[in-house]
Amino acid sequence: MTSPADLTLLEAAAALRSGTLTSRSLTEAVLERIEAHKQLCAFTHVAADALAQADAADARLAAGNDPGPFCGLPVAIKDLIDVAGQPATCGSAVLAGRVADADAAAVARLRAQGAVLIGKLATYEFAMVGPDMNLPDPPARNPWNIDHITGGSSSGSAAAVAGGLVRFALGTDTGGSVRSPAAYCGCVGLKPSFGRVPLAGAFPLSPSLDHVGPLAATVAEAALALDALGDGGHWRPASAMIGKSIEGLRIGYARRWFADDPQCSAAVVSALDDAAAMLSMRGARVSLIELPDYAPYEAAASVILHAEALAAHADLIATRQAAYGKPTLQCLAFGAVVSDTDLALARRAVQPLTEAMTLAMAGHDVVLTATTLGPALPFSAFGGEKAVWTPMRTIAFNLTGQPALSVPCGFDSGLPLGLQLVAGLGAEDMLCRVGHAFEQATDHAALRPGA
Amino acid sequence: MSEAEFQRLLQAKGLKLEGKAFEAALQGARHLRSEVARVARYLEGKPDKNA
Repeated sequence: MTSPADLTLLEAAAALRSGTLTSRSLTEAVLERIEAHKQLCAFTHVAADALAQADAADARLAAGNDPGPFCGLPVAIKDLIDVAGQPATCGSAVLAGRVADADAAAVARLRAQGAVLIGKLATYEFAMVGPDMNLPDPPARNPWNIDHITGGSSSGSAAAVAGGLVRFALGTDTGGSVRSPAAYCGCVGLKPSFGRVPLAGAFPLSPSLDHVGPLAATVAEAALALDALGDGGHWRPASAMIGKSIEGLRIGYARRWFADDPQCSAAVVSALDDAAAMLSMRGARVSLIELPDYAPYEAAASVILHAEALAAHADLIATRQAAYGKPTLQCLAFGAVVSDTDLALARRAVQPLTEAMTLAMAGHDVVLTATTLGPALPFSAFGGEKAVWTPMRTIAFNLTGQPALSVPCGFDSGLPLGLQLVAGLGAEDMLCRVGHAFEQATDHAALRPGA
Repeated sequence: MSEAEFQRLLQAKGLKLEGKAFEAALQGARHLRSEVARVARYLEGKPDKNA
């Protein structure tokens, strides 16, 4: 018999309302999964009141008080985002013992809908750098091979979803921290348009580049989650076009943007070529396009990120410096060499860089490219004095603010790979339409570690 | 960027790094300076709409 933990969010929501499932039994199944997969180190805290939250959701639905699609569904939150009454340490000894006294804005929206806030998930320290074996919580491990990293910084979020512990987890993405762990672990990661999901209550890494977004087992679930996280307002629902045909859609395949990089693995190129062919077979009009050189995007974003991160940590550095992990403190130190003039220069580059990207994408509904340039590295690649950076194609869209979606698209040496779809501001519905169509045409999303 | 200059900038921000941690941070800081230069080169090739 299928465990309730394996029901999609949509299936579980329907079952809760038809009376064939209770939130208590669903939450119990998820708690069993968490317990059975402790080796993934995905969770740093499991809510003691999870079943009480589930009972409250069951009571609301039984009374005909349906607050929204997430009522009774267990969700997990990256430990960079506050959940009232739960630990909020940002994966750091610096904030050891801190318990959030209020929900982050995005979490408050889930709680208002009756979601079961089942626990907190591992993060790279302050979302800065990882993995670091010398922090209070061990780093999360890749469900496909626990000797490999998950990527980060939403490391526990990706491990929890890809490992089948939860269907949806909340993460943050400043340079790829939702999309790259999703790609490395084999789940869906959706970085929304800048400003679509409120940041209040998420510890800032770089406020100009920070985004809160969902990691989910499937595109439809990521879309449902995003619609629950946003304020509605002027944004079109991300799930509005799920299931619609992609026939005639214009998809630009930015192949050279990743394939020409010598760091890119042959398996990534092959998987993306197959994805482009698959989308074409589904009726999309796929054509090769050239995107602007990635290097200036990465450069401007790095300058902004490091300057803003150091500013965000100024008070904690003054009072708790000794408690920081060494790699994090080193990364923060980079920001000391960015002057106000340098920061202004980088910020001045954002507009022309965004215009250049928009121009390159003009005439296309969606752009297809790679998320990361290879699979997840083993833990053994880390641990030296030098930082190890994993190549990806993500931070450009933190700079431009465009939505971007990572979807599983294949494997390299038994480890997942992800494709990335990018669209114009507010066009998450188009991303999810194409991502869902790809998912339905392949079995990548159905594959689970150990299956 | 010299070690002394980097040390001075760290002190101004209240940061204390020593030994290998300092060397690793200096390497990263030098890379970030090269990124600043890259941004400047990029902008040199663009008309400045804010000027």
